[in-house]
Amino acid sequence: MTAQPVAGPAVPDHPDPERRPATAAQLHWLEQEVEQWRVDGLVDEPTAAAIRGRYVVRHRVTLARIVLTLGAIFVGLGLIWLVAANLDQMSPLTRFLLMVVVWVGLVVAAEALARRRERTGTVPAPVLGAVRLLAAAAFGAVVFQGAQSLQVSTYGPALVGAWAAGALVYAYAVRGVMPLVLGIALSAYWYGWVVLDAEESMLAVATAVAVAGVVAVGVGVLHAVPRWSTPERVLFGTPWREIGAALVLVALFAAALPSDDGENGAGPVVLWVGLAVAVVVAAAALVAGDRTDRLEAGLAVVALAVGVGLSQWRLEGGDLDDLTVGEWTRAFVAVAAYLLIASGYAVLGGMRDSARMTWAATAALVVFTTIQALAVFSEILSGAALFLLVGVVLLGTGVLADRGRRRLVREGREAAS
Amino acid sequence: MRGRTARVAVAVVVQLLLVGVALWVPLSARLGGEEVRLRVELADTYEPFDDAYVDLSYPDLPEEHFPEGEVSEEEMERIDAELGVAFVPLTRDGDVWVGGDVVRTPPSDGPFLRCDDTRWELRCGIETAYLSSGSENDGVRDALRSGDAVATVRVDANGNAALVGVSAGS
Repeated sequence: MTAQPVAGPAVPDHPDPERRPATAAQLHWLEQEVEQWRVDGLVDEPTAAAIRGRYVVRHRVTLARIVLTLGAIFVGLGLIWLVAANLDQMSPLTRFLLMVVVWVGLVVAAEALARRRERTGTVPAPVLGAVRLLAAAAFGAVVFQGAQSLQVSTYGPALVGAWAAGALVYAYAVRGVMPLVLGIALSAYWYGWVVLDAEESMLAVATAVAVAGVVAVGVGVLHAVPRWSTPERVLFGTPWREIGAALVLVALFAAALPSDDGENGAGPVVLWVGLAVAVVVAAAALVAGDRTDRLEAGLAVVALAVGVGLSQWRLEGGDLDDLTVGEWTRAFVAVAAYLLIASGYAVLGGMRDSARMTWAATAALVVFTTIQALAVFSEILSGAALFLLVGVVLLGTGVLADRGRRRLVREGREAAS
Repeated sequence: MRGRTARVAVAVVVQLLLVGVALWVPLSARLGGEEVRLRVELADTYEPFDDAYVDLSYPDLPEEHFPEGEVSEEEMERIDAELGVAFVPLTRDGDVWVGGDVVRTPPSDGPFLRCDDTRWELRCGIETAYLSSGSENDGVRDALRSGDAVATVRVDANGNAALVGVSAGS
């Protein structure tokens, strides 16, 4: 996730608005295009030069940026560590107040940096993002130190929930992507913990993670609905959608594994409440979104449904040395479903121009197939044969996915035009 | 620019409120509660002082009563359905207070603890103490080991409890 909530080009009072930063690849493309325009007679020589002159090469990750970001993170963590290491010598109230001071200090520092960035443009986005992330993290330190100062057990989902809500509030207040990522991840973690607290079952937790994923994808899609969206909101939708996709893939992974941990009830109330919320959010996303949005929300819902189905399709025994026909069938269905859904996400990543999503889906596909193969299929295939088969399946999937992706992108373009 | 500063200020206030909500139970007990003293001992005797957190148990609070002998499935389900919010009335016994049997409705008089026994284990929010690792707490640690320690607990009118401190001897 690149932290560019207030990206350079959008800043109105940039000191030199005539010269905007662009990456070398962008400039290369632009130069070619402008040359073509000139040849085609669309622009004359001075105009072409003027267009090219508006941009200046900016290297995406410079050494200075890396050092600055690392520096911000080190200073922040060092500060928290310094306080934590000397906690024993302070009274509980002092400890809490000190954490509040560190947290508010980081919030104020981030604001000062943001203001400076707006005025002079000298503060790189990653530094601002890092300080904001630290501020959101320090809020967690405040919550946990508060509990500790009051002699309450810090073990429990309530504190994580408060931290998650706080991080989200802060993210939306400063329009910061980094705190948003933290807030979404913490919210999903909180929900999984609440469900685990209500029912200690791997299946319930897997379903909870899928529910969190569907809600996140739906919220992300709703951020980008053109009717009420701004470019800023679209930017904010991306972390929701991408973390949601990752959650869905992880949940399906867990649900498809051929294990059974015994307890398999109707599911706790919080899970049903979450399912209801997921249905409502997904339905809203399906109604309000465009075609790609519908594919995205639909994919998450299908993954949730398949996950729930596989969770319910548990077979007696679970002995991997002695598989029955039913277990074989389940394993094949699970692999096929995972291949389809993960490929769907890879395609979606292509349509959204999100390399992260494509890579995550591809990695999930590879890991899942390998694990399934080792866990279930190694009984009939061993060594080289196993890897050959997995390779052929992946190649086949790749060819199919590529064909499908091209078709989908083509149709998407046709629908958009 | 002014607008964002206001937004950030509001966010900070909301976050502080969130801390208050998350910690409401012990805060309310601490600020408006009545002080009671309860005998306390170590809950976990395996390396109990490994870190600064200590798990505590209270010998004078009711043990969770697992039904004895053979229990029918219906009986089990009935008990399971009953579990949840548990109230423990407190009565004075010399220097310390002791808990009576678990009831399901708040007692009408005297201090009581509002606990939860969903997991067949009574949790009243006072089961963890933070003892800093310095030698000044050696006496408390010895008392916890030998079972002579006393916990100071504040209990508000709704039964919310907060552990204020643990001391040696009664």
